[in-house]
Amino acid sequence: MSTLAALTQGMATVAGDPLMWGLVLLGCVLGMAVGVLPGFGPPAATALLFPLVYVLAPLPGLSLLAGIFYGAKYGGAVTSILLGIPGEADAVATLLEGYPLARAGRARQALTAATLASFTGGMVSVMGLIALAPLLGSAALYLGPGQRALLMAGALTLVVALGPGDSRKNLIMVFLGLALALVGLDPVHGVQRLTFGSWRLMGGIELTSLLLGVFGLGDILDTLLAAPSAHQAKTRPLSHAGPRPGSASGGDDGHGTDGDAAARPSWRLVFPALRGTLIGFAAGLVPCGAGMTASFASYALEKRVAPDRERFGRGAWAGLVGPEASNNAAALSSFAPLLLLGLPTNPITAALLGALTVEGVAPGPLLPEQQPSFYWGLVASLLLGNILLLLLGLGLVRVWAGLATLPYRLLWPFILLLCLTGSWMGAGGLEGPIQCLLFGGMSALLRRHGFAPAPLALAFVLGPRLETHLAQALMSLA
Amino acid sequence: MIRRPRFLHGISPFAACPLFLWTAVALTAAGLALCARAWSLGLGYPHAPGPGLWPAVVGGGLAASGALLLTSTARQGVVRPQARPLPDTRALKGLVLGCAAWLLLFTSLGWLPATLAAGLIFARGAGNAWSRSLMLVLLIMAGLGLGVEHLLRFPLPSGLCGQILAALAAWLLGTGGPA
Repeated sequence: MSTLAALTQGMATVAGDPLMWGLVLLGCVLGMAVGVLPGFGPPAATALLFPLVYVLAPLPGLSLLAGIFYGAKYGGAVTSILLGIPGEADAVATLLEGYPLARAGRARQALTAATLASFTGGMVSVMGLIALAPLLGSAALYLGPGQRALLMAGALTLVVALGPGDSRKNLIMVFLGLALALVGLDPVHGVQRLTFGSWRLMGGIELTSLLLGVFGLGDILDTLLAAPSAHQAKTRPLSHAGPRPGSASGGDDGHGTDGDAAARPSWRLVFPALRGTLIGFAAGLVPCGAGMTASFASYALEKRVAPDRERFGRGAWAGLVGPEASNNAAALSSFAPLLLLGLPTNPITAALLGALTVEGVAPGPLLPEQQPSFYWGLVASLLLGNILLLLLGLGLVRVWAGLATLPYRLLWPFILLLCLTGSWMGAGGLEGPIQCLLFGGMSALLRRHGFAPAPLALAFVLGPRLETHLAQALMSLA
Repeated sequence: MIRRPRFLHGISPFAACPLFLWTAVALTAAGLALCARAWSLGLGYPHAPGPGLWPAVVGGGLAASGALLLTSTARQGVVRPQARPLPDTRALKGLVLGCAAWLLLFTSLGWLPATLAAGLIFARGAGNAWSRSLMLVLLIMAGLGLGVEHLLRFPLPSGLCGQILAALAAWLLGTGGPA
């Protein structure tokens, strides 16, 4: 079947199923809400909804979780532009130019430009995903267990080097993740390891509990362990943060805005958006590339190529559009290594790989041929999600901005109860919540000392696969 | 004479080392313990790896990376942690108590009383008024009941409370109850 025919079939599957429309829409809405809410990240939201994969079929389940990922990228931009609060780490680059533009009375145009840039980045990235499938399918013939093990080891090395924070601490977190993945039965010999005689640990550490603990409860504890003023300050009301979207009056926060920088955006912004998309697409293929790396690389490029660099930091349209296109493109291109190589490049795709395993879907270069309805259905759902995101982004700006003012004291009891119930659903017993609480405490302790949790989650998911491929490669030497 | 590392000069190591260093020490020790356990599992041969080979690699890596962090920190000198403002102790107490209540009640009495009790403790600990706490918890309970039990058809443990409610419902509807 040709790529175009398979894609058409995938689109027909998705478009004709109201459940898919509903779940993709739900994923986008939840993702945007998560992106808007500070102190609650997309990994935590993905972990909270992870138990749904036990109930839903592979395509609807994955489409929902994927929607949270790319929806959060846009949600982060809304609060960055309107309130000067980045909902997500990679929205900091958006804040640098978006907030001064909003203060100069260009909030509505800035949001429209950011939405259109995100849409461009997302759509071009999905096209790249479509183009990569046949290329990687033919490359599959050359990938044996040794090469796969090497690929995974290389990915973990990149996580150490490019991951957030100190690389020495990232190295420890990678080995800690690999060590946690050892618990349970050895995938090659079936020998019990680190179970301490407990039958509850024979199945290994539950991925849901680990994700909910490390990201869900870990986020809450990290926020509560900060000074009380820290999490109260996150709920700055809209009225204190500058003029309302579209208002004509400017403000001055010390950045200042000159008249030219705050001029109307022009069609020439297509070029920064395309440059950002290319950077984002390439960065998303690399472990830990999606996120701040992609958006700041794009910001730096725009600043370098701009004829008027002095406008940067005072409201330059190119500096807003480039990073926005870049972070959405990176989010969507990270699905290529996940689906076609079984290689997660960030904590969310690590959770998605776990979900694929639970659903019995084997990611790899042959996935488009072996399970075309799933692969092309998911690609079609990404296209649909991007279109829905455009509509939601343009139509509900006020709603997202209002959501950012929700007090954290209302949010965390809700999130914590979902964490406990979700981990019980994942493990099917009290060992799930107990593991979730233990990992939450561990995550908070490690975060306080500058250890980022993302490398741990990636290594935990990749560990058993790396071990199996390595053992197969060694045995094939005999 | 044993020369003390630069970062320990003139001060007790326990007072000088921030918790961060003890965390690194604990991770190094965990790596070494993992290596010892891997050895007992059997390392095998290069062409026939035993079940202990991969744990030995991971344990060795954990110990080495922990030691690397310790030595590099010792070389650079310990940066004394800055005095941090006190955390939100009321919220933390609420979190711990609420989690304990949830774990105790969830399987015995059922998800409804566990969510109600833990949710109220969390919400009060977070600084919400009683009325707002109750509204928040009722909202969460409605969401869990509708979303998880009815939409997803994932049964949550009903426990003793569920049995009592079922018996009461049966008695009210006249479909069961004591003869």
